[in-house]
Amino acid sequence: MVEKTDEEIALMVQNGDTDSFGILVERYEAKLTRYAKKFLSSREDTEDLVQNVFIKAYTNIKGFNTSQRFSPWIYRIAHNEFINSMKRKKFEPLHFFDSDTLFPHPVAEESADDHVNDVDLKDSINKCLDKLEPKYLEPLLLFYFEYMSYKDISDILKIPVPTVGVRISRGKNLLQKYYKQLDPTYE
Amino acid sequence: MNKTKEEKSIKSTILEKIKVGEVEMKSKWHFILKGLLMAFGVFIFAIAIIYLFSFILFILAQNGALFATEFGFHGIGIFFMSLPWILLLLVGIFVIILEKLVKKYSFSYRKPILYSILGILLMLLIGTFFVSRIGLHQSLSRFADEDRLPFWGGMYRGYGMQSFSNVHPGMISAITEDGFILTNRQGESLIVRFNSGTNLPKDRDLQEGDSVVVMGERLEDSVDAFGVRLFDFIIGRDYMYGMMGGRRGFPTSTPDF
Repeated sequence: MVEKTDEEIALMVQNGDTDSFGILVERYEAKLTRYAKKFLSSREDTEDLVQNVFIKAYTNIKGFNTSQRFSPWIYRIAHNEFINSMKRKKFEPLHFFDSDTLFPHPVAEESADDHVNDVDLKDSINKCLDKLEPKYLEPLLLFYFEYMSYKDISDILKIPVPTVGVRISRGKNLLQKYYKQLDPTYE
Repeated sequence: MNKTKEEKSIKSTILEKIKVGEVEMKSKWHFILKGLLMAFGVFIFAIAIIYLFSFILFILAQNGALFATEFGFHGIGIFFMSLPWILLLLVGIFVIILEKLVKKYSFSYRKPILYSILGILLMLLIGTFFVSRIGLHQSLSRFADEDRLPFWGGMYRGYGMQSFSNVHPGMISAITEDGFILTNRQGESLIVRFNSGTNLPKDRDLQEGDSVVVMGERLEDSVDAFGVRLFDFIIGRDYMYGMMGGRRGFPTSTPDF
């Protein structure tokens, strides 16, 4: 039997099959928990936050357009929930305006697949989670750990597609810098 | 094992909350209304920006300040001094709000902010051009001048009758040897004097009854003019015609903002 897509299940939930929402929870709980733990660096009770994400997803599911992809939609809810949690706890300064989003930048999209085995990069992200600003950390996590495309990341963070590329590139450079500080032998 | 238990617990907690009605779906109408409200907000702010911006240009033309830019750096300085900064600030705030509203749509947030700002500016130019074509502010200011515009009338009269230092709109009531006598919209008579550098209209000589704007420093009742332009104004015109015994000069043109 062919497994139903997320969007098909979301449509079933919209039509009143509320139990099917459990399938979406099963599919996304581990992903969202991983995302929360890395993004918030275990500074929060991630389980409560992830639960809130699902509750908000259920509450707003009739606002989801089933002709679009479900994944960026639920990650967008998660992004908002995590950012609000950071604001409440005042972990990080959040910028109202960012010059990265103002001007066009050339987009040279990297392929996450090329880096699947790039253990060094993932390792350096894991080791420098606390050091990176959220605006660089989040696109890196979504790209390298959640395998999102630039367009999906643009939809989740509501930033221009070229800005996603700029932040991933700058985030990688910063990672290298921080990683060298941790391990001076790193080339 | 623990992980599985944790997964089950989140899933069952949520499904339990759904079952007992602690968590409920918002209706489809909630999102339809929200979408409509958002589109309405975009529309209202877009209209407000076009209206205010075209109004600013209109009152600058009505007060004669728009013509100041024709007289070099001195005139440009006068023009900037005459700008209605509060209205411009309001336009700026509305542009920021519109930008924030438009950024909710994927066609906008996927592109750099510069593009949406350029889009708003383009809309502003096209909208202002359209407003000028239909003569909206001309009609409203006529109603205001005739006291037939209850709420907005004060705004048209207030801004339209504003006077700025070094900008003197009015009508020529008499031609003199070295200039003319100008009756301004406050009913004062000013002696306007030309000098060798005064920039005068090139297409024809000035005559009694012409409505003009004079640029120059005022000293008591006289103005040392460095520039004069023919222009037509609406706000206060009937009052002036009355004062001047119904005389009307050569029909002149004014930018239709």
